Amino acid sequence: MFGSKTAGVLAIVALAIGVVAAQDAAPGFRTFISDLTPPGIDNGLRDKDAPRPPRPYPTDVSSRDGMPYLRGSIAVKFRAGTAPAAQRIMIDRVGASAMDAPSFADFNIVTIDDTADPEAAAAALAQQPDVEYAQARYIMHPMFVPNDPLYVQQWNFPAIDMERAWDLNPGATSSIVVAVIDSGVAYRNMVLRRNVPSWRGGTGTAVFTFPALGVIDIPFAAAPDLGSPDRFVAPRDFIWNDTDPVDMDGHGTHVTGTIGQLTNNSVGVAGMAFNVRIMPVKVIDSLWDDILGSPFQGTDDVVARGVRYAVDNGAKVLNMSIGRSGPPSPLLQEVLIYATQHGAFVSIAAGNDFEQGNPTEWPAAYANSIQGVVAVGAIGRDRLRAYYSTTGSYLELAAPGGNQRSGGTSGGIFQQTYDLGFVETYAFGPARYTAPRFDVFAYLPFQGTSMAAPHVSGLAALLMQQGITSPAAVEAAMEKFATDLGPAGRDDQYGFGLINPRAALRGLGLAQ
Amino acid sequence: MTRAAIATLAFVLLLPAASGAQVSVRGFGDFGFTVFNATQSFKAILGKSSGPVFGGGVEFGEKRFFVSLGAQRFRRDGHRVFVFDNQVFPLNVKDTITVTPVDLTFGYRLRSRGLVPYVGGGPTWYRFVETSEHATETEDVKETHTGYHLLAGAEVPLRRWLAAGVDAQWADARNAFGDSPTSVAAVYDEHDLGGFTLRARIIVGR
Repeated sequence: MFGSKTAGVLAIVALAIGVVAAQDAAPGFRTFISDLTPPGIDNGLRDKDAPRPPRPYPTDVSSRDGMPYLRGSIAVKFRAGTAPAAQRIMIDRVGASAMDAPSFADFNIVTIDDTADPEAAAAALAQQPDVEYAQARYIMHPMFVPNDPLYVQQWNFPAIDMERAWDLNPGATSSIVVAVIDSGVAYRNMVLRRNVPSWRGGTGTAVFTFPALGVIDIPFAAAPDLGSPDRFVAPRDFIWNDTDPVDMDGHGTHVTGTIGQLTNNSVGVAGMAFNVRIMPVKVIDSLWDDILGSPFQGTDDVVARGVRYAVDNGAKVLNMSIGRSGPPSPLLQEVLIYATQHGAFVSIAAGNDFEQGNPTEWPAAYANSIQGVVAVGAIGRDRLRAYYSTTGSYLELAAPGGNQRSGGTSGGIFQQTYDLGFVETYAFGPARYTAPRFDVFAYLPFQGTSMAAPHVSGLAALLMQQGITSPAAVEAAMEKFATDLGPAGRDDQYGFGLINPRAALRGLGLAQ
Repeated sequence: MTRAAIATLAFVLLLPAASGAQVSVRGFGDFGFTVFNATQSFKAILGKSSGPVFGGGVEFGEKRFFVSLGAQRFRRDGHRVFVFDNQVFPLNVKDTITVTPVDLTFGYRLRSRGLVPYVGGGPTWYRFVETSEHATETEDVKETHTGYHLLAGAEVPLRRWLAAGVDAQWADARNAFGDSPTSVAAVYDEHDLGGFTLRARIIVGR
């Protein structure tokens, strides 16, 4: 679609800093002016497009000032029974001015001075006797590396013997709800009217000022191959604090496709558990969320609230193709335990930073200490660890995540999502910057542990439908029947190995 | 196995004949109830570790000594499972177990008239078949294992050509299964295909 030269020159990383015009409504309030919009436009296979420039590294995008956490607030959990007066005294000691108790959370958000160091404030507060934990509000990002939109085939399903697995369990049923804890999902049609201010962003030293677009109508459409609206249950947006978690990125929609894209319908591509219902829970802000003035970002506490919301609303499988490096997060650890204790299995992307020093990724690193929570690494078409896939002692399973370095463009994971040319309109600089459209779709190959985790989520849904109702047992089944890769036994590159859906769904016989 | 059985049978039959004793040939049909030694494994797959058996056979002998060749059949449908933390999760994959033991019994009657108690024992050949939905040829199991059995029972004549009896049999077939990593028998460390069987028998002949 775009010339490679142009794309290369305009490798824009949109750092959403300096939103200079006022919004048309108070932050957090959106006005969807109509539900009556045309169906989404399917641009089909984008196998003639030139390679797109890499997306901005999400941490920089969403932190707004380049820090890995939000300024001006921290998260804290007091021990049970701590009197409000005592809480007040403790937060006063760190210079806090206010405290908020968010929904779907058992912790508080404490407001501190914008100039204060949140990590230092959290550390000071954590020293107080009645504080269970305190932490900065670290920002999560999607675990993916989008790349060339070139379709060849969905090699990922044959690689894990899915065709024969579907013989045993054809896509689960609507009784299983899978929550996609992500950037939202393209699940409904609507039009958002919004005043788009000017803003500044870029990569490294190449920073541009993008002009204001004024009041525009932004169309949204449901992804045609994800199914009808009644397939989606209890949608929730923790970035805009409403019930319309529409995707403004494409990541969550792509992930959802791998979990449950409609299959055997003569349209597009397939998904793992194509009969399940999907719960879109938006906890990650995209660049467009930031530009449009979303009141929240994808911090640890927002993600934790999303997890708790999904569990409380009946999700049995949670997909978290998100994560971050940096310090641990006690509140995420607690909410993952909460999820498994309430019967929900959680699949988490292990991380894509192997070549960036292979840092420990959270919340994936909690996986090996919580039964029913799995950290998923990625393999390429060659069944070898993808070059980006983070390794570590917490890695438990591997699944196809794509590797376009060794496998070329067809080595990605192929799913329907937005045609990114209509979303990343900032990628070609201010001169060609236009309003986005979230109603034009294409089948694009992505790569990342983000793409691997939904294979595991889909398998978890199938296993739950098959009869394994305990999250810990689901994990144990996946690990027992995994195809060992790399050194014999569990290892830090592949965990227990590549998921083997057919073997796991088939289980144990008396003698074989 | 077959050749050994035939040779043994011929030897046992020819021995009384050579001694001049009168050899009788009788047929029997039986039904009973068997409890497998691999209790947990069968229970996991079938929901219970026991079930009915039906069979029959032929018996040769004279007043005191006899030899019989009999077969029973156990067949039951269940589901493949996953076992975690001692909890069994039945999966939606049908699994059928068929066990067909063939017993060659060398017996001795303690009395020759009226209520006749008897004891015996000998080798057992177990035909074990496990099939499941959507399985490939290599995933289904069709094997034969060798074990032995001991039995005790009693029979009573009903008519000149008809008798009824009951017996209890204990059988052992170690190392029959439990080596495969995808077997529930491996999970429970149970490897014995034998079991305890109570049978009622109708015997025709004299």
